[in-house]
Amino acid sequence: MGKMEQDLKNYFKKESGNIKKTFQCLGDEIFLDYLEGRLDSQRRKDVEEHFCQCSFCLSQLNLVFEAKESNIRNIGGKVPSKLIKKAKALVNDDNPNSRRRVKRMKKNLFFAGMILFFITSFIWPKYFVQSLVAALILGIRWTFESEGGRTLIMVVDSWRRNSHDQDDAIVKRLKDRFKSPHL
Amino acid sequence: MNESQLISSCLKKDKRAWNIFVQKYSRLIYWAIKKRFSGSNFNFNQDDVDYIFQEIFLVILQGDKLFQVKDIKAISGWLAVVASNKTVDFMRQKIKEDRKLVVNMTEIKDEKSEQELYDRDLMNVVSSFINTLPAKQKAVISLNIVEGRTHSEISKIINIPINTVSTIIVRAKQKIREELDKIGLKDL
Repeated sequence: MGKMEQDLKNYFKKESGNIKKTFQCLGDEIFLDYLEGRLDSQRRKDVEEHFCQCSFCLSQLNLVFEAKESNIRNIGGKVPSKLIKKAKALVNDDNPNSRRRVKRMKKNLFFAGMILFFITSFIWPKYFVQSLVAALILGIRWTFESEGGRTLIMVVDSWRRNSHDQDDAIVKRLKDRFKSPHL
Repeated sequence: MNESQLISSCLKKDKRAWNIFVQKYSRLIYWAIKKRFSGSNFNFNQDDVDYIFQEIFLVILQGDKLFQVKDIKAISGWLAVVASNKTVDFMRQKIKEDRKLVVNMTEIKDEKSEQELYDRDLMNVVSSFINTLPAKQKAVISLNIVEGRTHSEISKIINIPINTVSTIIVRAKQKIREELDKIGLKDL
């Protein structure tokens, strides 16, 4: 490289070293729209003009080009394994889906336990009361865990707390709703 | 699992998909952070890189950034942009907080050697010439000289014909040589 080319390089290095990111620079979203070709022709033209005028965005575009041209699995140096481990740990094993699954399983276990203890109380009369109490406890737990049970508790609680002036009107409305026109 | 399935599973915060995603793109993100840092005057250390690396994955996961991705082909380039922007934001924040700017010692030296004076004159000529160039030509020169991009690569990056790129580079270098000749500074 000649002396002149080295000077040119120094000049641009100095320019890009001072980060000149302004409010006009492209944000992540516009950049993505540009990369995905989702900008209309005028906007695309404006963006391309900006690339030529802004050393920061031009360097971003160069970065994109380099990233696209390289094999992303081999680019740059090796990442410390503790960093990768930490990043992976950002998603816990107990994600919402698996939590729901566990909750459903727990609810079903209460139900199964209740049936089991109920049957046991008849099989071993010696432990009749104990088994029945256990079945009762599990039954209550199962009721409280289920959506329907919770809704029922809320309805009863609300009915208990609020005035009963409109009870007749509500009952009538409900009856009308379920009344079949064919009856 | 193809790329689209991987992204949609990551959006559902599926552990297995997230692990694959992190494994696949960690090198790219790490590279983009380091590249942005090393291209600046910022005095960074390994902790800074580690911190930004975690922040980026957190933003991708919690900010549901992946929702924005429609074309899977653009994802690697876009992740590099996200990483780079995050690094710049970090540098700005740090500069604001600590005022740890690297001081260019050559600018505060009182006594300058002959070579330094020569270099300064040369840089002045180069700067003033480059500032007169149209934006597109300046971008071409920058990509060619600093980033080391070939003519065909530049033509792909800024979407102009390869012949135009070659002409711009040859003419600009010629023009700088002439300017240097005029004031008696020769290209060594």
